[in-house]
Amino acid sequence: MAQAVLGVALALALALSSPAAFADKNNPAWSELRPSQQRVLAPIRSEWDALDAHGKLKWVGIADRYPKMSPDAQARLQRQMKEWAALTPEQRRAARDKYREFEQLGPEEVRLKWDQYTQEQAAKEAAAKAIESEKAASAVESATTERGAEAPSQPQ
Amino acid sequence: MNEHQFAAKIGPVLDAGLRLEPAVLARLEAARGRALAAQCAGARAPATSVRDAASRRGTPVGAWAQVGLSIALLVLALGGVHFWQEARQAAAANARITEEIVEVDTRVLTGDLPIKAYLDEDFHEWLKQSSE
Repeated sequence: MAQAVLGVALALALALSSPAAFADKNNPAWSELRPSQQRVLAPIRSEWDALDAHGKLKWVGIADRYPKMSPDAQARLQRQMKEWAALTPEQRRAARDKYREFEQLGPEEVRLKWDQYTQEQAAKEAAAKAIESEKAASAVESATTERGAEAPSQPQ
Repeated sequence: MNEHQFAAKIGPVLDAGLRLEPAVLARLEAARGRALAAQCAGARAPATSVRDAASRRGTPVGAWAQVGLSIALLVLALGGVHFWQEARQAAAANARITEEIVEVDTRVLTGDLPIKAYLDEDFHEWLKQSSE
């Protein structure tokens, strides 16, 4: 009888303690990361404590893939990490959905379209600035002309 | 008296058989009949309680309590195992989802497109129009 009670108590203790163990393992503090993970995740060090458990696990997963990436990919990752971490969860979700959509269109084609789009936008902005500058210049010119015409009639 | 001498003495007595008087035989038979009737009546009577049934079969009430407690503990243990398995399955499902997200995030962050390309709705509209 005593053995049965002990067995059941042991089983319950195991059952109740396991999820708690998972939770600790899945929510690592910065100091609990390996040095190699800390090096990769250094750009988001200041945001780490504010991340939820899921966010931390995700970054740990990315850091673990880092050694297998090409140098270019590593550089792009390091460059974009902070910007990605600063997005809201909704923005990140929307970006992932859009990524999957772009995968269907063909990543290379989308990249070319992005280059074309940014060039068009830059040309439009330059044209708009040129028009504004032209307007400003003509306004100055007309003001000068008006002052020149009005000057003789002004009392001394 | 050794074993053989005792056997030689008791053998003839047993061979001769038990010769009892008819009155003694009648009393013995009546007593046997009463004992059998009492035994049959006890077996047929319904159990009115666990205590009654337990005592009738010679089982102490404490044994029933032990059986009940064992069943309760077994149910509790099965519940614990079920809870543990559920937690394990949920953790495995979360791990799968996290793995998928890590895969997509890694591709987004290491890809040629800047992050703003995924969030620029004007670009998405322009892309849709240019594809038509």
